[in-house]
Amino acid sequence: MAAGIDIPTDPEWVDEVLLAGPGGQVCLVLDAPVDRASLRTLVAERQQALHDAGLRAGGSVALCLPPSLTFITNLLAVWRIGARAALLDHRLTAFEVEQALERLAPQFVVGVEKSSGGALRAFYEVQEKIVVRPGGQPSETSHALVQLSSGSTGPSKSIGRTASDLIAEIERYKAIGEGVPQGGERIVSLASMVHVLGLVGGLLYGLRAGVQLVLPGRMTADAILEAVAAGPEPTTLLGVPFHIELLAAVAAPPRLPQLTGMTTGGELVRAQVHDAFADRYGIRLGNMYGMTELGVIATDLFGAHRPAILPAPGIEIRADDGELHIAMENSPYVGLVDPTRWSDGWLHTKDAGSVEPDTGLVRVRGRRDSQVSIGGLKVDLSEVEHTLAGLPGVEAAVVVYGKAIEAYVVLAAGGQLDGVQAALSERVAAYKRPRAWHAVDQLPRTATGKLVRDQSVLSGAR
Amino acid sequence: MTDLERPAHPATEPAAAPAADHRHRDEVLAMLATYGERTPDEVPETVDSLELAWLIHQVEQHYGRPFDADDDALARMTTVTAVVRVLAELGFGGTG
Repeated sequence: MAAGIDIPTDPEWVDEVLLAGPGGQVCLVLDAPVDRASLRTLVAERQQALHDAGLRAGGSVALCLPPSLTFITNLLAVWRIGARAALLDHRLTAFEVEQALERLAPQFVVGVEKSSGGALRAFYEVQEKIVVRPGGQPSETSHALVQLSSGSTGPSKSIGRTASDLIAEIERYKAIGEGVPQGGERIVSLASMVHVLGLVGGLLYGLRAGVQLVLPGRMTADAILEAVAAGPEPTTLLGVPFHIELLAAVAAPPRLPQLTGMTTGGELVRAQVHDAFADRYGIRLGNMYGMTELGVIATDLFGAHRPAILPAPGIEIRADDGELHIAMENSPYVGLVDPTRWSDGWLHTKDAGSVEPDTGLVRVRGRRDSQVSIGGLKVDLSEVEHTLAGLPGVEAAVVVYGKAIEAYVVLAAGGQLDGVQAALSERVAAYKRPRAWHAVDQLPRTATGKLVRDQSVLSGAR
Repeated sequence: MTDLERPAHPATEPAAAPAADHRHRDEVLAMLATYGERTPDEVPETVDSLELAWLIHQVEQHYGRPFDADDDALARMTTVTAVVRVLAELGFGGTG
């Protein structure tokens, strides 16, 4: 896919593409509605604060904020200045954040001074603070947005997207057309806005298209349905497969005539869950396939092709030796030259799959590397394993995924399992940590001495 | 996206918990097991936020009334043991 006209840090795009529109039009609903005029004022205030702190066009900022109005206004303000924003998931540990900051070398970090919010909250009330990082570097590339693919240890990737990349993705949503919320409608988003689905598919597309973005008060089934019921406009739910499972489990949902459909990203939901959801709500249930590298790639928004998906307009997909490759003019990776990830105008997705020659329909058949998705968040098992195996008290470790992340650990002499768990919790975010732990005397190995990751073999070692 | 925070060290089950607590614990494990096609044996001691959202819905359906916990109570529900305790405090099963 061509990236379009490159307008890397021209701040005009924020006003033209995202903030334009009638001042009185409500564009966001967190705890209270925010109209465009108020959003423009709030963004201008943040812009002034960042400018006063020293941020200039071509500068760099890391945002380490939970989902909040503060996150939205700071992101738009950074872009409006013409600087680059790197997004760090607020769930990362202090260790991971520090690793990421060393790698990204931003000039400023916008973090949390004070925050209210907590368990199951979809958004927080945040008072931010701007911290100057001595030695931080201005942006060396034309990217407006930088995200880390997973974690910060090991070979994680920095993914950069220019303003024109983001605009191209927003336009792709528009081009998909039917099944994508239209102006005057609402999206109740359950997807994290620091990751691509919630960020572009929810926030940025919503701002562009005049679609109200609503976040529920809590991520419980009742609160999600209440958020849908709170407005009369046609409403689409945006989330990950867990949310389908949760809503499908509601025995007698209220009548919600405004709910027109639900779209999820990530892996496909099980057929019986899909059917239970469709039966309960009587609405379309769509599936999207996307990657941080280029956003939405293919969709099946009406469940018409399930389990296959159709490439979005402008996206070219081919299967190469069983791996899906997507045409992409430039490598999205910042500071990484790895021909197994991008080469000769093709992004190598690491997803196994096939493309039907006649119809162009795509089947995605799972990862070919160690990445798994936990509630929509990507976890690289090799990163967790690498970190675990490097801890004091650990002689060897294997981390696998069955129904949860599981660790098999050989403790060194004097090593204690609870000490190892405590050390790991300082290093990797909670959602990446093993849920089940097995301390074993030795780990199964192949004849050539490689660690075995087959779970049936591993469970025999317990 | 929801939070997935949980402590590294799950609290351990008190050595001499009353029989009613054991029953209630089994009930909680059974409710958690309905998410992700697990057996109660496969439910880890730690409860992540997806499981918590799932559990709250199961509790409401099981008891037929809303589960009105504040942030503080929800924040404490990070292990099966803690869940059993908080549910009992709020009058949902257990010895309360």
